Amino acid sequence: MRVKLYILTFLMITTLLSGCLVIGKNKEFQPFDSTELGQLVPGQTDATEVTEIFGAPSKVVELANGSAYVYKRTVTKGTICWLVLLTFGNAEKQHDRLVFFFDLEDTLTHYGLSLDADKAEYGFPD
Amino acid sequence: MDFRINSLFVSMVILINVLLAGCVTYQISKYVEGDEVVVPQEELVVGKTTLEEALSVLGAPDKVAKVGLENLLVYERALLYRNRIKVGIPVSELIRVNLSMAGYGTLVRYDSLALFFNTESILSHKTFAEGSSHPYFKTLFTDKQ
Repeated sequence: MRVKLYILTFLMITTLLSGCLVIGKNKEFQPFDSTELGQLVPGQTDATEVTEIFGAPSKVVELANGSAYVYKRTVTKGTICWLVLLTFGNAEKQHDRLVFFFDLEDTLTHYGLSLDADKAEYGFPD
Repeated sequence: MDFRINSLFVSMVILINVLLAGCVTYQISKYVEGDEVVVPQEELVVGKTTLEEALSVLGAPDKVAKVGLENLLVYERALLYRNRIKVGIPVSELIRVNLSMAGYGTLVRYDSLALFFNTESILSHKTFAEGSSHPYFKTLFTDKQ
């Protein structure tokens, strides 16, 4: 009697918990190296030198007093878990961004750096 | 009353479990893009803070744009939540149609910090919207846009 109950419970649990777990990672790669920023001197370095060091930008934006070159790379980590009745899906996308600001003479005025791509994590929705 | 388990009962439970696998499913999905947007109020003073100071505090913006005679920098985080329920009766083996019904709700919320700089690279105005502070169900089902 007790053995049958155990078997029944085991069968129900295994049936309900049967499922699948998938994890995946996407990377949009842009080979810029932020350690090269030391070579830049705002007020002196021009757009050509920036592109020689960092390569072609992901995007160029026209601004009111010049332009901005945007370098961006992305990491996305996804987790999907299928159970019998429940499915959990989670994805996190984070970017590394490097933005250079140039004046109307294409001379570097400012730059900003954010390195967040490593913060992307696998997980479950909270 | 004795609790009796016979093979017919066990078979029925297994059959119901197997059928349920195709009958009712509930999905919970979350998608996040971007890092948390933190607004350092002391470091962002309209009429005083320079572009250089803003970049050193906040890092590179997610979006850059020209707005009239000003430059706009946007720091943004997007949060998507989706709940979906599907109820169906897998009868395609018996007849050539499947009976199913599904309902879902998707809510995308944005935390956005917008900074406007004039041509002298001084912060002219700023605005912050914290979409993530609005609860999922209440925000999704309210008539307010």
